[in-house]
Amino acid sequence: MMNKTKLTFAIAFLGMLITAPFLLAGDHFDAPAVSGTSSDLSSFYAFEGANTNNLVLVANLQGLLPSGVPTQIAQFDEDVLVEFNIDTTGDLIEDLVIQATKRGDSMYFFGPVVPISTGLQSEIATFATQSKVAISSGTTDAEAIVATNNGMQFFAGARDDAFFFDLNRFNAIVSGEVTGFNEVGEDTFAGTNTLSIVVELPKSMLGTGAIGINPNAPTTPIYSIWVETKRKQ
Amino acid sequence: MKKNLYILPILFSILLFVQCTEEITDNSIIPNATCTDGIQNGDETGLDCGGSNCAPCEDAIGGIDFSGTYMQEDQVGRPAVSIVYITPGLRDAYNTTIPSELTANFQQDMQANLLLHHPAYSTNILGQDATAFSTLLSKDVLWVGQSGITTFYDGTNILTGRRLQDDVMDFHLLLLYGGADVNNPLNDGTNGQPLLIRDGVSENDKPFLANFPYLASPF
Repeated sequence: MMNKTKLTFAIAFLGMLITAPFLLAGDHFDAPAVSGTSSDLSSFYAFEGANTNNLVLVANLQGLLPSGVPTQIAQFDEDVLVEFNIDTTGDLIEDLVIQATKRGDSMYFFGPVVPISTGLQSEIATFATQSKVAISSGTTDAEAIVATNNGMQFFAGARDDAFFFDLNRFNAIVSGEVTGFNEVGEDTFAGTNTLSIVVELPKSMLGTGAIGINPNAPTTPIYSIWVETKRKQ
Repeated sequence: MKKNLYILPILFSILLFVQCTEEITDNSIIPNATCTDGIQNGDETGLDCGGSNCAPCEDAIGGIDFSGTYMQEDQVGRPAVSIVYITPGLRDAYNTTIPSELTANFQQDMQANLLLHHPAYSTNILGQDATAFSTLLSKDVLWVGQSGITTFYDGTNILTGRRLQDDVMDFHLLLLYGGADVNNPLNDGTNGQPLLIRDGVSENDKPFLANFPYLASPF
């Protein structure tokens, strides 16, 4: 006789088997605890801005949103803190953070600032430079709301998912159904959206970075950057 | 004598008051009286806030509450690393392990999954054996150049950032399946080998913007 716990486990396991092919993506739907939740990160980008003195950081959440109603009702979560972590010395410990969290109709930003504490637990550094931008709800480029403060630019709202990959074919390869990709693939992420947070800031705010980090570019000063989501306890 | 009788209850009241004040301060129920006097005094860092007795000034900017402790649930450094190289049952643990401890905790799992995906893996275009490659993967942060081209891979520059247009999955596939020679890669769909080093999707379905916020408008 199967008890309730075992039954729950069996159902969960069956669910994992059925959904397993969808667990393979950029970071889309990557792990049970965050899959499909308001803290689920789908992608992270960091690149030099159109102004080459600047760096652009992009955090995408809640990936694979179909157009129309699912995107319109998707919301940033006031209990979720999105935190860009920047290690400028190469020890994989964050030296600076930029924190973003929603309140009301706006996204609030703090930093870049030395974090109150490093690691898994954070408090919002409200003593740092504060910025905010109204969350964009439109679907055209003209409706994208951009705020500027202290040499930085900010955006928050739904955008096209910039990730592209023939995920369905990859899953078929992994499961042994087919042996390889097609010369012309099909973008599984075409026509889908994410909730995006974009920050552009002068590189000078982050210091010089560390050399000798990337063996493929040993003389290039490197920032080691990653993005985290954290939930209010 | 009569005078002393009057003083005793007064002294007793003062003692009680002091005791109560300490209790209240210790339990942080009611802030110190100076926290409501409309003057920045004592060790307050702002008007009636901050310091050792009053509520932190920063907890209520413009009446908005940003206080509290936030615990990590997810993280992303390089694209697709946890998805391709971490065993599904370990991904929640991976998402809540600080980057400086990822190699110690997950490099072996990554190496095992690398060899599961590609049992014949020997080396990649970076000259890395399975141990070296999985060690690189386990330092799962995005390296971003302070100068120069910031790209995941553009045919020349390697792991100096991640632009929107970078075909990051093709680079992952090339490292995993392509062998050591970038000019004569393995698994390129010729010589009876399957096509595994590219997925046939080389760009986004919607053009990116030249300027901020760079991402294309939503569908």
